[in-house]
Amino acid sequence: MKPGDQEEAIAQYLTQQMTEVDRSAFEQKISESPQLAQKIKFEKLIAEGIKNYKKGILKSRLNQLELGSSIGETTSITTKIALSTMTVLVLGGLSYFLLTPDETLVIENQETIIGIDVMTEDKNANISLEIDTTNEMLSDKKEDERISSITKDIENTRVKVSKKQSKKGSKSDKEILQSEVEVEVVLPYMDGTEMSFDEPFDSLQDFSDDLMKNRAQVNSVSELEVEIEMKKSKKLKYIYVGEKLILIGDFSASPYQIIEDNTIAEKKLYLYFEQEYYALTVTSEKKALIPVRDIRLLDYLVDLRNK
Amino acid sequence: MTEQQILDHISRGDETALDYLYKKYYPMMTKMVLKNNGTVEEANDVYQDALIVFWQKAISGDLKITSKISTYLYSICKNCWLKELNRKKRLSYTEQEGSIVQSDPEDIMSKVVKEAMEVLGDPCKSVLTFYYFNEMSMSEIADRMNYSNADTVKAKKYKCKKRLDVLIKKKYTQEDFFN
Repeated sequence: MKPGDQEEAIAQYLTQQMTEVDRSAFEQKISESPQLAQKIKFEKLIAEGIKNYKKGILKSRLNQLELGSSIGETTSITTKIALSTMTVLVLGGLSYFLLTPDETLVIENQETIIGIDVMTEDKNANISLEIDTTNEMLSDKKEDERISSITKDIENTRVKVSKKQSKKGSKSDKEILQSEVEVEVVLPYMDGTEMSFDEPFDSLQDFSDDLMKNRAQVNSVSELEVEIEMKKSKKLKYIYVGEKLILIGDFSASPYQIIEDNTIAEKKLYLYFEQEYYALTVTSEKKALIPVRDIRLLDYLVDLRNK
Repeated sequence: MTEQQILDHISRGDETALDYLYKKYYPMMTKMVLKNNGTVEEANDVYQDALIVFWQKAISGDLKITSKISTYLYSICKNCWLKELNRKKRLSYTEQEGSIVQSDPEDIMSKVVKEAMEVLGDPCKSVLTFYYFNEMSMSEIADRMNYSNADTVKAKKYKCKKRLDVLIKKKYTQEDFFN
């Protein structure tokens, strides 16, 4: 075999371009010649080097891409959507209970539009949420029609996220970013088995626990379940245990917001209601809601809420 | 873009399909690493590695996909992250034991090859990456690079590889790695 032929054979062997028969014959030669085996090892290192060179080029290409939103922002958007949806549903529910039996509630704006403008020009994503509040119209109808109308309207309330890019970037980038992004979670399948994209997987937990102790999670979508216990009393109270929060008092006058602070190691919850912020600590007993008065904390919370 | 259209773009070597996939699944894939104690940097790195593995498989025609691209990508990401956690665990163990961590021959060679490839320039860079990374046949490279036929590419690749070997051997020989 000429040296050129041998090199070509090695290249074909390393790039899986040999037929099964040639491959077996070549492997037989390798087992008989330690020099050839060593040469192949060296050539394999060079081939890996070429692959890594190309990988490096592709990686730097990906690093230069401007993403619509960062990881933190994405989660924050999800949290905001969850909060907004919750607010809309709670408002709807409260309105239902506060109306007299003769009145019918019709939700006019069935779509809550959340517009997200991603300003890629200065790399800072500028996100603004515009929530169209639902208007209420009252009309006379029978009791059973009222209930079915409310149920249908609430079910039809949809949340849309539209993402716009100001300019710059290729045409295809624009097309991608200007298209509407579905918020629904799709669980893809592989060989018929469903897979969750959100849950941590146990096998990884075993490896990582001892390595990563005390590291704060970047963020997560809150699983918090909020319940309102209506009371006409002016005093506001709450119970917060597990992932359940019960707000006790008159929360019908205006919408409230739950703010989750994940920027610190231990997650903290705050309630924003009628221009006041309240810190929520875990309690299985009814506890009075006391407004935050610490100016530094208030500044921080205002900032957090605006984000 | 449908999944089939994405795969068609990849098979043509259209790198904008890589950009599209990267943006499309970025939140989903990085979230998996973050939820499993990874940092943002690690999440980016793992996702990029996984996407390149997917790209390489798809472009070389090795990909037999029976599920959604997202599912397939997710499983590659998961494997990459497990591999990285294992590597970190081994490294942490080695540090505790006070052992000396030796340089990886692959890392040394990658550095040397990178420098050599920059010296080679095009068309050698393209011919060699099409052959070794994309695992394209001579006739496929001929089509892509507008060479008259497969034999011309074969001769070109041979010359380019020889030039690369010369540049590498200026710094390291086979014996440096194995003796």
